[in-house]
Amino acid sequence: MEYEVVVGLEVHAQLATRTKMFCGCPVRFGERPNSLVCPICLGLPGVLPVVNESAYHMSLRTAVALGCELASFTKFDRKNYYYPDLPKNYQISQYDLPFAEGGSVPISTPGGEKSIRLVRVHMEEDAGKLVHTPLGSLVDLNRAGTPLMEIVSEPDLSSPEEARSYLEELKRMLEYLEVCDCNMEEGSLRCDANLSVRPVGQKELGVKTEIKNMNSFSGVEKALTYEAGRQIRTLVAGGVIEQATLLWHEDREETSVMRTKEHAHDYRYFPEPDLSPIVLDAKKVEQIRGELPELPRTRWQRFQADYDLSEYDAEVLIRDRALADYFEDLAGRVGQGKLAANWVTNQVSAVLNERKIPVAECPVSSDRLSELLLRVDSGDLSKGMAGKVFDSMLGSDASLDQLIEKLGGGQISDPDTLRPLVEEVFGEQAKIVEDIRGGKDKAKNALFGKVMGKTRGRGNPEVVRGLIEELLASGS
Amino acid sequence: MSDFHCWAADRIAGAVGSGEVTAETVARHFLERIDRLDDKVGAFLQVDTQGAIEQARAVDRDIAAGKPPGPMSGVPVGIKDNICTRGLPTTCASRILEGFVSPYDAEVVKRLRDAGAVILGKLNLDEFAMGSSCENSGLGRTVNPWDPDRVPGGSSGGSAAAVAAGLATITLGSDTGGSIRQPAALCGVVGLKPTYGRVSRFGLIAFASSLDQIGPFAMDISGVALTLSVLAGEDPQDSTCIAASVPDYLGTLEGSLEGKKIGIPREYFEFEMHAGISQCVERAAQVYRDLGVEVVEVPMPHTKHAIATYYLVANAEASSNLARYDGVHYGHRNQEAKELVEMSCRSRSEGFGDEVQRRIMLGTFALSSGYYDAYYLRALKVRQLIRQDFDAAFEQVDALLCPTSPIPAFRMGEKVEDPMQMYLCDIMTAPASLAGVPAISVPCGFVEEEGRSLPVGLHLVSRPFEEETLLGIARAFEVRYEGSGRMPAEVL
Amino acid sequence: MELEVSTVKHIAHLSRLELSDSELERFRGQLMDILTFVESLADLDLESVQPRVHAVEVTNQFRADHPHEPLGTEEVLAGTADRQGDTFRVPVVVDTEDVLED
Ligand SMILES: [Mg+2]
Ligand SMILES: [Zn+2]
Repeated sequence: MEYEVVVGLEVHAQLATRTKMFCGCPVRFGERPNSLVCPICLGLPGVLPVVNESAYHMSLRTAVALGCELASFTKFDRKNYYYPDLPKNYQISQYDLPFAEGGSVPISTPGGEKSIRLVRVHMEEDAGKLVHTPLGSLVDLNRAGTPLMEIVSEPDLSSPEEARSYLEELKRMLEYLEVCDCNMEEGSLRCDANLSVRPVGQKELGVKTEIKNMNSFSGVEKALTYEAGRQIRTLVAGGVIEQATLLWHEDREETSVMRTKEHAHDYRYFPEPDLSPIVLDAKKVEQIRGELPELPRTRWQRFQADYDLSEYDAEVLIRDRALADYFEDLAGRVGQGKLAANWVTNQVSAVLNERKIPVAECPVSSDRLSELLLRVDSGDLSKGMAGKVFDSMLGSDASLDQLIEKLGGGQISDPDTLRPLVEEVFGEQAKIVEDIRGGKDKAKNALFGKVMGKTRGRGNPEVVRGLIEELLASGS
Repeated sequence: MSDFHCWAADRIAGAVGSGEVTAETVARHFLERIDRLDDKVGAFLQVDTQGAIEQARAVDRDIAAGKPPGPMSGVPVGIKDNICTRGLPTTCASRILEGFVSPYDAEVVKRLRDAGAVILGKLNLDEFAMGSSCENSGLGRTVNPWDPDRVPGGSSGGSAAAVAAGLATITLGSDTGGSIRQPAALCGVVGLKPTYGRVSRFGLIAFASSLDQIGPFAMDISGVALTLSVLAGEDPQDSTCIAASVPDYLGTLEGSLEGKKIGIPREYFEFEMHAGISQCVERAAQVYRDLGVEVVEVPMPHTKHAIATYYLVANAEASSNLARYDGVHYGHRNQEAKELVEMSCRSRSEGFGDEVQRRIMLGTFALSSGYYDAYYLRALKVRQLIRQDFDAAFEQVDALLCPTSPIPAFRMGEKVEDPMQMYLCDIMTAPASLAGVPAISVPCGFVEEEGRSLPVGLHLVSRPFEEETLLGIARAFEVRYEGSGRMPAEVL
Repeated sequence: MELEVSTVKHIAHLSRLELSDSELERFRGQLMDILTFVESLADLDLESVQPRVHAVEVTNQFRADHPHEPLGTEEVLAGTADRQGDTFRVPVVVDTEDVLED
């Protein structure tokens, strides 16, 4: 029997606000433990939460971009459970009236375009960080109260690869919207998955398991591949799948059971009495809609159309909004989309990857690179030479001309400069010229090599070949 | 020896503000009384002698330097110990918070300080404000100054007893289902529960967030009016505290009652009630009739469901609000437990008294899976009906009148073993809490019990954010009531 | 309203309370009394009634995204019974059912 995989994802994205969801503590990663904590996020007796307006607006912005239906009335709820990284022992979240429902994320699959529907998007606060040691668990509350957006998809994903594409697309969207920095290592983007399998053709869903603790895109793909395999093997062997929450262990590349259905939590959700509800402001929504940036997928399509790029090249370029901006600026200056795309996806990307730096810190600005590419485009510089000039640009602020000069000059494309040299070679190599005229076509290469030798390799090959033909034809 | 403890708050503020007396003199007078009398009363959990004198001196210095005096300059105040005070312990009368010192001041405390008030110390209460007798305090025992064998009421028992015994001019309490009004009635003082949303809750240790409201106690209405003017008004730290304009409550007290109508909710009088109390309340109604106020009966059909509704809503919220006391970040921690869940359970069971544990259990139950709809959600719906009763009544009348408590102060220990009996103490006050409307208890007479005179409170309720009307109506009675200002002989 | 001992135990666990058998029994009796009392609400027809959560009708209360000064690590840790370095320390978590939350 053949099985198919059904996956739904729950993504927690940290909103890129300056302060926490319900208090004014700064949101920063990697600070001294418990240094970004106030009475409110410490849950001291008597404190009250107040909603961060930016967090709400960023959430709205995301929901508008995802095409969600915005609730005209939304509220916060308390989710009650005891855990030492949760100072109040309840999390302020949204339960039955999330601020946004529906919407979708478009992805590309081998079978074509696919739209992954969303169930809902809601706002909540993050917990602190807990480190388990043999002598006890250690609590740092710097992260406690950080604003999160939880984005829940329908079980529309049919493979671990699709799950990964969905995550990548969502990540790009959040980055383009500037609502999340999407750093999975620092935990600003986190993902849990629900996975089940069923015989192909069966309508009802199989029993699902929930997988947590996946800390990278490849981790998600690996964990889902592992879990799908486990479930299918279990069923094939005549076993049954038990509803459970599983933990993914990146090191061992396997899952373990965290809790089973009998141990399901009773969160005792109820409306947060300390916060007033939110009524949707239609004007604000229109303003947000008007200010939405071009989304990555639209840009991907436009890059293919406007710059005549391949799907792949366009994809590489739009992956990072700043890189795409760099490319667009460069392409505009050079007037050659393909040339610009080649340089950005090769030389520029190589530098960024090697140095692990963002586009903003690229030592060669798009403006500077455009000067270089204009010379390449006009034929003043050979590709090889241009590569060398680019490398020297990385370590020097000298002008383009100075750099070219230092590296032995640019390409010689001027026929009037080259013609005397070709004539010189014709004079010196009468034998070869004669052979060619006698039909020995291959000898042209020898002639060409001699001319290039005289230019110390800087002659524009096309112009040199043209001049050779010209002189051969003239019969002189 | 002067009699500052018989002065109204505005008289003290006026005298201190004009330099007639110093705040320090007044503070020392009260500190001396506390020192001498509070052993008997037990109102204070903490007396901040040094801090009070320093605050008083600072007030005197500012006045001597010609700064405009604050509206409560030199007024000695006591704070219920579920309201956070920076640098002084705030315990909620619970062992779980014993020794806890808040790093911040509650908004109301800040406002009092800014107004020139002098904070004498922290007052006893039923643990986490859960109770109607102060007997649930984990840290102290407060008696009724009118009869030391009887309870002062609760949960703000310390606040009511302190004012009744002349140990503070003004005290702050908190009211969730009657916790200001009932002890005010039982101790023979004035206690005001403002409209929900009138006074910031920031720094009030939550019992039931959607019901809790801070309010003042005083010997007379002018005292609570003055204090409300200082406390009231928007606070950006509290999303439920609204931006409504704050009138000068003291300045508008003596308005005419012309055209005012008062309603008597029939259903309130269907409960079992001490005969002497219904007589006192009837006499009060007559005072209003004599003033030309039309007094009519109004229906409040859902009154009988208020206690059930109140205990479900309040304790559901409490079960969540009190979850934070688990020994992890602050407060009592059991040191023997080797494992986390055990540590939390033991810390909580050791730290919380019986009543608090019982209510946490009830609230947890009402919210738990399978019971939410039948208990909590149902209670929220009845809460709506109760509010509608008030809205309908206020279409007809400007205020409602009934007793604050159906019984006078009861004997210590009389109800401790029977939680249900204790809960029924809130029968007159809980509906206004559920509706969020302002209400006040004003002394209106005495009943004789076993040779003791025990005070009776008149309960007046008015429309949301119309404390001005409420205080004016209460004031009209106060000036015509011969027992106003009477203090218990025992402690004088 | 009849409450099973197991229900009371479950509620005690959800409430993080450690009750002795006699306490459990006493609370069971008292809770049953209270629940019996509140059952009077069951008689009301509430089909068309909207639940009321707040006593005051106010909406859209926000704060600006401006940072304030945090307390400082020492003051944050001032109240805890056990710290390790700059962190709160708690006994080990044995019950794995609670390891991660959503
Ligand atoms: Mg969540
Ligand atoms: Zn904070």
